[in-house]
Amino acid sequence: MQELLNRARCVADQAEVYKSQTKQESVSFQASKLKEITSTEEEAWTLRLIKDKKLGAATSTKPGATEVLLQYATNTVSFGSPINYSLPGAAELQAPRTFDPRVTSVSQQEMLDIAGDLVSALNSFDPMVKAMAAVQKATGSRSLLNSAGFLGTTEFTNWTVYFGGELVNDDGFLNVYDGFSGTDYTTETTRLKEKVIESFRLARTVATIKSGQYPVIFTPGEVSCLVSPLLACLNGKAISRGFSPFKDKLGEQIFDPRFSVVDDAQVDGAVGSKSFDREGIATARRSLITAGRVNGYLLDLQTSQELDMSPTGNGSTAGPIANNIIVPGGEASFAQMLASIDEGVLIDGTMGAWAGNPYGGQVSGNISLGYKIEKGKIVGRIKDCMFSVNVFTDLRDNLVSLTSEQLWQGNLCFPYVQLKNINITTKS
Amino acid sequence: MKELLTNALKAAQADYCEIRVEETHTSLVLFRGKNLDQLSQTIQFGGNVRALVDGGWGFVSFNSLDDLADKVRAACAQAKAIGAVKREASMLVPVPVVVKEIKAEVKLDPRQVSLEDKVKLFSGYNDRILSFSPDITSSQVYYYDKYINVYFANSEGSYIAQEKFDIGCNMRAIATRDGVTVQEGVGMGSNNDFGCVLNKEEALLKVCQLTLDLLDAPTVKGGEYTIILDPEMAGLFVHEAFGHLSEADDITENEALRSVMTLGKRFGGDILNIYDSGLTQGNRGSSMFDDEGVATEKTYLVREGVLVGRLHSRESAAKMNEKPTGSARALDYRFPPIVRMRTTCIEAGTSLFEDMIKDIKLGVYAVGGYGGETNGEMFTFTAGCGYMIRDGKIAELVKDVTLTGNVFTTLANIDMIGQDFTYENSAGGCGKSAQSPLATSDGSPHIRVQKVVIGGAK
Repeated sequence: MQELLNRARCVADQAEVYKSQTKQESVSFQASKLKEITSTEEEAWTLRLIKDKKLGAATSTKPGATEVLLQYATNTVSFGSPINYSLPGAAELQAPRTFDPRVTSVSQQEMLDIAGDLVSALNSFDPMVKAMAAVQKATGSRSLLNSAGFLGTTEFTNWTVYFGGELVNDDGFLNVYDGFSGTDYTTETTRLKEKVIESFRLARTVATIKSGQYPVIFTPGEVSCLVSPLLACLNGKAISRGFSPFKDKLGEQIFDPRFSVVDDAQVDGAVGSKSFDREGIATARRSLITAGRVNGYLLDLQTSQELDMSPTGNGSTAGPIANNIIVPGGEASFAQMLASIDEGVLIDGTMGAWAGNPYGGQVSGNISLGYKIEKGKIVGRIKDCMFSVNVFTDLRDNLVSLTSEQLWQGNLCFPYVQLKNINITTKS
Repeated sequence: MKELLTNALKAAQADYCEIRVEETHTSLVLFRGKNLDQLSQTIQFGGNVRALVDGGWGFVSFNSLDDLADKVRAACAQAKAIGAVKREASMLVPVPVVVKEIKAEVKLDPRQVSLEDKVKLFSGYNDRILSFSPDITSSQVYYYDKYINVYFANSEGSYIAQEKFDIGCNMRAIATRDGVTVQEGVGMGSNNDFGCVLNKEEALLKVCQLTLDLLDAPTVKGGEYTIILDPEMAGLFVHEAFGHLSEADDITENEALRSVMTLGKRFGGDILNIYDSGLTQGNRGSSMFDDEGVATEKTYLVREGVLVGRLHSRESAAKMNEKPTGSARALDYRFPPIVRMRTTCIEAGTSLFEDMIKDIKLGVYAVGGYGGETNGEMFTFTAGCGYMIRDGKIAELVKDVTLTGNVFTTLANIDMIGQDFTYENSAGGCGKSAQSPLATSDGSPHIRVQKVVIGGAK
């Protein structure tokens, strides 16, 4: 890396070399049968150059292509993005746990056994369900070196178990998928197994619902529908370009005081954890929304400079990104939430909710897996329904409760969230 | 390359083995607001070996072609480990052995346009958006071009070297007033012509005006409506709602789904014809051979309302005893090929737009596609915007138009198909099994559908 940096320094004012290496192995079952074993190895180099306050970049996965990498980076820097910042120098880094040696030593057979156990559990519950399971392990490293003196290396592991199934019968299609992913090895799949089987069990009964406004519970996995538009609005790009409704809203109470959002790259074992971001800025736990007030934005070098703020450790090569997003839990339990609802909906799967305009706050999607709640109990699966939420107003005026229990999914950690007066539209 | 690949394949101990090597050079230009946000050039190089033993697949991918024979052995060992458990016959439909080197039939080669000229062109478009009105507070102009060389060899003796291009561009205007932010955009793309991004000034003016109009537009009121989809929305619909369901790898192993998708079953009226083609040169996703070395074709999925075909890999075609369609595609060398769409189309019908609209008392005209998703039976997708239809006439503009429905009832509810067929390309793509975004495109005329649920305001 140093050699490439030295050469880059000769053609630019500042330079940065980033190298990532990943090795990955996975086993998968499809349609209840063993399907394939795959392994991948990848090494990628990215070179960023700054010259005359312009930024250029090139990436290569071709071994030994240093000349082309330099050439491509040089091509782009001459009329690249105008910037006004300097690359950061050496920093004191706090490293969360991102590596578990047990992941590297898991055998292929063990991975096959874990996936096989999940598939046979679902098959014995209902042989008509076509089960799928995938177990994947990865290990690798990321290194960043720049001309200002920053040098950081992170070694990581990743352990992912994904499980679900598809049932096609007279009631139509039912897909249920769930999984977990982290840097630590675990054989604890009981919760995953039970959750998926329970979903198939609950969906056996079909319930009907009329269009109208209802109390709605979002499961932790679906709370991302509510949080994604907020993250788009908290992104430094949207703030500095002026189209985020959260621009000039720092400190303002815009949500229910029980609602907060935190970005935390320092959680041990979480997939989004890291000691430094892609630009060499040290990460930390940062509150984005504190008790309903806008507290901070996701910023990289460019946007922090534009907004005259400090970078937040959310840099990437494509603007600010979230590390691990956490919505702190509340006081309720899921059982209490259910019991509080006389007639309402539990949303555990959505489609297309990501497709709207995030800066307008309007989120609409199909409820691909949802249940009718009657008198505090789940009575059956609902179909052909859409939900429609305006996250700006509904998280301000219609938040009923959050559970104390939170669940991780990828780099997201959310509780169950109950809202009221949510629009459900169905066939007339 | 041919010698390298065919020599390495000699190490294969498998029922079937293939090697695919790819080198892709990408240029990317991204403007956000007044700034050039990203300008980069990328070389993606790598390969993979895929092997089949007793019905089980092994797959190894890598960047370096050193010790290729060892990689072949590794993939075969993985396949053997699965095959030992499965103990099934390996099934691949027979296809002709092909030895061919194919040059791209390029019209305007993006490599002939300098990076500087590209930056100038898109900077110009970006300026047009930003200078349209003070209410247009930001913009996004995203462009990329890829120059791809794929080398494929298999244990049956095929060797295919294909040169390809993929060009995509999305341009978007973002308007903000009194805390309300709206956006609207236009997309374009091609597999052989940089010309697809030229002379877009007029299209941008329309986008800018529509974005401004959307600032004052109300959110559509949720409910069930008769809708007319413009060609872009109808293309998105046929891709999401029927294209994915026609991908046979999901059908092969699922008896219940097989019975839902029995050939000969009626899905719509006589006016409905749907096809997917790899031969629509110029559109994203078209190519002569797929990633299993099978010649592509125009595959009819629905003819006169009746299911007549589906999209196949060699394995799914063999398992269902149907003919191959050249539909096995991989996002890049890091992934094995799976069954995917290419250009998915509703064939032109006979109706005129004015006849489609004239007897709708209350409906929605959905315009421009934002994106969509399906789980097989249910689909949902969001329009860029919509217009209410009142008493047979286009009325006020509405925003946040998201449609949902059951694929089968919705197909059956298509009661008019226009004569105004157009292809739709953009910088987006299709996602399936972590392989996203794959270059695809679609085509359709205006279509009219009865009883579609639209989610919306209270």
